[in-house]
Amino acid sequence: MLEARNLTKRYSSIAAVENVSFTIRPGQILGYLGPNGSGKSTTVKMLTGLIEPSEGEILYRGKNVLKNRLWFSRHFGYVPEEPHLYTHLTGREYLQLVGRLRGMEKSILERKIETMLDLFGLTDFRDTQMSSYSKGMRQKVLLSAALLHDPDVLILDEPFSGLDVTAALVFRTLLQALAAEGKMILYSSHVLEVVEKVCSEVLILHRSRVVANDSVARLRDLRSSSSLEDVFSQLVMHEDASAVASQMIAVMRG
Amino acid sequence: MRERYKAWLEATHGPLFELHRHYARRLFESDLITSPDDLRRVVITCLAAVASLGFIVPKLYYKKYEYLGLGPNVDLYRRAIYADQLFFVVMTMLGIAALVTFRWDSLFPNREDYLILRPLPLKLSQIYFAKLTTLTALALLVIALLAIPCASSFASVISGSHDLAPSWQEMPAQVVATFCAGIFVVFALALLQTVLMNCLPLQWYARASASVQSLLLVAILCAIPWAVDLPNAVQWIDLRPAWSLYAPPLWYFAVYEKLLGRADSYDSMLAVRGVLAAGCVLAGTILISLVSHRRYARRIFESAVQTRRSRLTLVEWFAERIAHGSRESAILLFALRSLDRMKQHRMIRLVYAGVGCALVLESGIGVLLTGAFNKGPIHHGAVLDAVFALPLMLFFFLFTGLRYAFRIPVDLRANWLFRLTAPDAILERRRAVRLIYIGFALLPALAATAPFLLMVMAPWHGVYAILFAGLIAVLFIEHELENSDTIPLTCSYLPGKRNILHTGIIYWFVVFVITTVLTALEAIGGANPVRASLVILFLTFLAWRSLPTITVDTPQLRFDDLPEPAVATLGLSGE
Repeated sequence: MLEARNLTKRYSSIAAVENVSFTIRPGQILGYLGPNGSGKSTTVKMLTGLIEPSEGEILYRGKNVLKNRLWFSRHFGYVPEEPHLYTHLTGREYLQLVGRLRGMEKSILERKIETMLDLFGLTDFRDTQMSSYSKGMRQKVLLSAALLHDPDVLILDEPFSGLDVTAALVFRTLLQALAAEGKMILYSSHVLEVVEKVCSEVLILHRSRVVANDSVARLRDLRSSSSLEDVFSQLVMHEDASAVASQMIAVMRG
Repeated sequence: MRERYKAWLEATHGPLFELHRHYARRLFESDLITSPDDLRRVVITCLAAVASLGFIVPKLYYKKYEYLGLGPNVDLYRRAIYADQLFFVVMTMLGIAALVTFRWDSLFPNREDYLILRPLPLKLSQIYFAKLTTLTALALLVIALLAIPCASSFASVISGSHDLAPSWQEMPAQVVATFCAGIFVVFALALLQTVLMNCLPLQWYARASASVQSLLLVAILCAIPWAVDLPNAVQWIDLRPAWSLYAPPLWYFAVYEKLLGRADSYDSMLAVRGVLAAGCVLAGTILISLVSHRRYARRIFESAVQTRRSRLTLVEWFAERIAHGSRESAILLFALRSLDRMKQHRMIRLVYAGVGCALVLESGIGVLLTGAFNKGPIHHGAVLDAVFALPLMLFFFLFTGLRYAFRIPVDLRANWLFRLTAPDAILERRRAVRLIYIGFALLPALAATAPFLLMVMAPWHGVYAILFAGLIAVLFIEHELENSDTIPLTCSYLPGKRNILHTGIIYWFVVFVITTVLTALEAIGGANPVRASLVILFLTFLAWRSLPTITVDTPQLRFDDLPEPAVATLGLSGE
């Protein structure tokens, strides 16, 4: 079980994340939602150890992750929000780098790389530097890198960004299959339709704080809404979207 | 007036002006430059430094010409002027060649330029020629800053008792000759790239272009010590050997002579050749560009992405076999591939290696020219010091070049991978980096200089010099490994931390000081075979002691963090 307790991150005196708590049990996919700047990526970075929380703790199988970073890093796979990767490497070289840094045996690693590149339709581009890859192709490489070492926890920050419909569908199904195998998945996204279909529970952040944390069905019932999008709008949107759009058009003509 | 100029500069002008403005800004863009303010400072400092060279000329030459002017030898006076004029021409050519070679990729638009600019209402020819003319304009500005103050200062300095021509003639002649030489260099390099671009398949072009750039850079750096010696060429300056027909600096020196009306028929022929050559490369570049710029843009867009095996296949194969484990091989291969593929890092290594090679060649040739070697193996004196310094000097330049390149991240934001997967890879990092330092600094330095050392010194002296340099190199490598805790090319050189000029100056100064001190110590130790053996034993002991120690305070590697980006929203969430 992965548990975050009262996670807080402050930059100077400004809180990017404040008192966020959640639990992900084996087999659970937690949808992590919120508007831009609400603190989603900051939470993800705290979970992965890229930044230190100002307060709070993260527990994995009862152990404090902050004190056992190395141990925890062997158990999770991570897909970052932005496809930051070493684009001067080829897709295959990048996956080799990740696998070797994770200490994987060469023969197993090579077999996995070949198969994953093949499944993602990247075989023809495996020896091409990633600088010429499209965003979707880079995202496929990142997804492959996150899955290479068969992690128990998957931390995904906008994982479908740039993926084509087929790849997104395959990956959505894969996520559900992984959850069925008992993996713990944190799924941070803006795409509410996908979250609604994939996640068993959702957590909604607004202005750095948790404003909802429950199952999708229960949230819909509680807010008397027909979709997660409606729930989200009720909780975090305080401005009239059509009014903003009208103002935009006025500026364009202006 | 200043406000009006500023307002004019900030206003929007036509597409060509805006394109030139865009390209001019990008000319100086580099990860090594920290901020727009720093960029402005570096550019102004460099241009001011170039311009101020002209004001150093009187200081450098006044005494010389005053002394020569007091003597009766008008011919010596004339030959001294000729040698100095040739020096100015050659240095201008080398300086401009270095500038254009450094910005080799800025001569013509690349894929990124077309991707950004093509959707805008601009013609392909505007995108193409604006880039070419921006670098050309910068080169001409540098020539002007270099030539005009130098020419006016020099003309006034040489207007002594044996004056050959009035200053008002000397100065424009020198400026025109320098401009012709500069134009020849700029457009010869542009033409070379145009020809490569049009004749080679695109996937070969990138590689060939990088190789040509590397060769040119090393050649330029190697030519500088030779050029610096030109003011001493009074003995042979009047000679016109057959090869002068193919020596562009002599063409433009002849242009200077022709403009002053002092050229004989051979000089006139060389001058015509020089003017024709400048005109031909200029016309050739423009004509080929006019004909091919559309095809060039089309090729860049339409060429299929080529897949290819790494050219480091053999090195990679070897690296995989000598690496101790998967993490070590991962770090080693990452560093090797990055050093090979990243232009900026390759350029840094090339500059350091080029300077090292140039100094070693200069020293080596100097040793041979002294004739000390003709009397048998070199045993003592300044020549012995010079020979001792060769492997150390080359090693230090290769080593510091690598060390500096390692500190510049390939992509700082991508280092999350290492932070997640290898924060504890202290030993693996150390072994991988050690292998690179040995393979790309120590062994090449020894391999390049050992035959020369063994040739000019007694065998025991040669072996001593090689062992001394090797062991000192090992000590430096181990010291560096112990005092750094970052994976190469992943972090540490955050923009704004250090000024690039300061860094370069400090590094090179340290290299010269260390080489001088160590060479002196080496010479003292190498007085006789017994003392030399003791020195080698002592150094071996130190190197052995330095190998197994790990005194890193923290068990984790260091990674610099970027500040979190500010998130600006449309305000739809009410923020």
